[in-house]
Amino acid sequence: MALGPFIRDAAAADSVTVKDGNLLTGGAIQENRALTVTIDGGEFSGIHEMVLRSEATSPIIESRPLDQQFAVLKAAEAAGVTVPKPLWYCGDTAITGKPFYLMQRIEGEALGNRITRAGEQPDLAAALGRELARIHTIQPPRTDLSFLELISLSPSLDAVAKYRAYLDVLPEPHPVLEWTLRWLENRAPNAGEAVLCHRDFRTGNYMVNNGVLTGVIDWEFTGWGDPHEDVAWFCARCWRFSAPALEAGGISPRNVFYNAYESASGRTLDVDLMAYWETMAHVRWAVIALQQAMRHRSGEEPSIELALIGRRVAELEYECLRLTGVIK
Amino acid sequence: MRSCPNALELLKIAEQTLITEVASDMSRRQRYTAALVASAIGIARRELARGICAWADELYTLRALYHADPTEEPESSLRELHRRLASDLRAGVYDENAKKRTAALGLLCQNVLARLKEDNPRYDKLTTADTSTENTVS
Repeated sequence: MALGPFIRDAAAADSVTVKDGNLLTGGAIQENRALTVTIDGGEFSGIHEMVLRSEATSPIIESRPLDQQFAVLKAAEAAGVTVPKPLWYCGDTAITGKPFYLMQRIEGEALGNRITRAGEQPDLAAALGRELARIHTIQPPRTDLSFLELISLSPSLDAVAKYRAYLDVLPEPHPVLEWTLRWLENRAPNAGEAVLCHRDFRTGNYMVNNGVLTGVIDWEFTGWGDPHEDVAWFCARCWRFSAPALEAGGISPRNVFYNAYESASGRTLDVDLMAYWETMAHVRWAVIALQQAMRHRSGEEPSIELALIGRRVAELEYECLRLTGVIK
Repeated sequence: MRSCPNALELLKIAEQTLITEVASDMSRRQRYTAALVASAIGIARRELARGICAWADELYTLRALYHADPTEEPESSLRELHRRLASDLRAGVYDENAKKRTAALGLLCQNVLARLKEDNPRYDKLTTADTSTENTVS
């Protein structure tokens, strides 16, 4: 069965035509393809701009399977988060060669360098703070999200163990990351409140159209965790792109984002926990960058983009040394 | 003795030509890819200019930290000593001994700053970096 008949059946339509568009930029792990779908009959009758998201050739370990991403996206939509509307998931590899799901295509720009070149955007930062608070209203237990691993007594120690295990399969040693993981291990906080963490909520993973947020995207790393983890990830130096002085995602000072999050969530952010999780953020991105580079180095997916991600690790290690007080 | 221009000089002119002459006639997507290629050439050029060590005293400092044999083959010695340093940092070997920790952390700083100069010389913080090290670890 081709894509058209799949959509026709899923949408309970009379007929469907699919016009294949471009491969969308920005998906270093997953592939996103733009489609224009014309549906005749049924509740979806009309012309729809969609995105077909499918698994990369060699996904990294942390990345969730597409069916789980689709379930998380549905839960986020139901919680009132601004997301591209999830439409249909298909696990049948006979249709496009890989599992995929379809979602509404949203208007706007996601490239971090372009967004952060627009200068200070406090309204956008506040909107994102409120969006994150909305994501964090999703809390365990949830039968629809039962595939998410249960949170332990110390999510931070779990993370330290996980990143060490990732480092152990890489061919080279990484002393700076080992130092930072030891620092994090020695200061590990106990588990706090568990919420749904997006785990990649940052500039580059939301769409903006004329300064207005149109959707939070890339839900492949979600899991239960400490809310500070997501707030810290958003503010980490590595996600400020062209505007490093604007500490909330390169779009505003921290307090704008923090205040909006705190007002909407009713939580008070802990300064020490923010510093802790921001340090963890740089280790995590460094480990992911090393894994991304291995997709190229292993010969599985030769790519100049993946190769160069490996050469971003020095920046992340620099931030690790700064955050652990080694570089003043 | 080889022919000239040498490898580094060729990489430099290849990088410049790609950006100034080739990329200007490309589509937006192609210009992005050309910029990535130029970036890779630039990193390779800076790395080749340095040799096997990221910074001048890297191997000497590592050997001093571990009292290692100075006659060992440099490349494998460098790799092995980095592996040992990583393993010791994980095991907490540097948690207690302040003098050794200062030496080890100083080494990490030098390494990261040298690699930043190769990988992203424009990284803004590089210009304000102070490589002094802390002495307290809980």
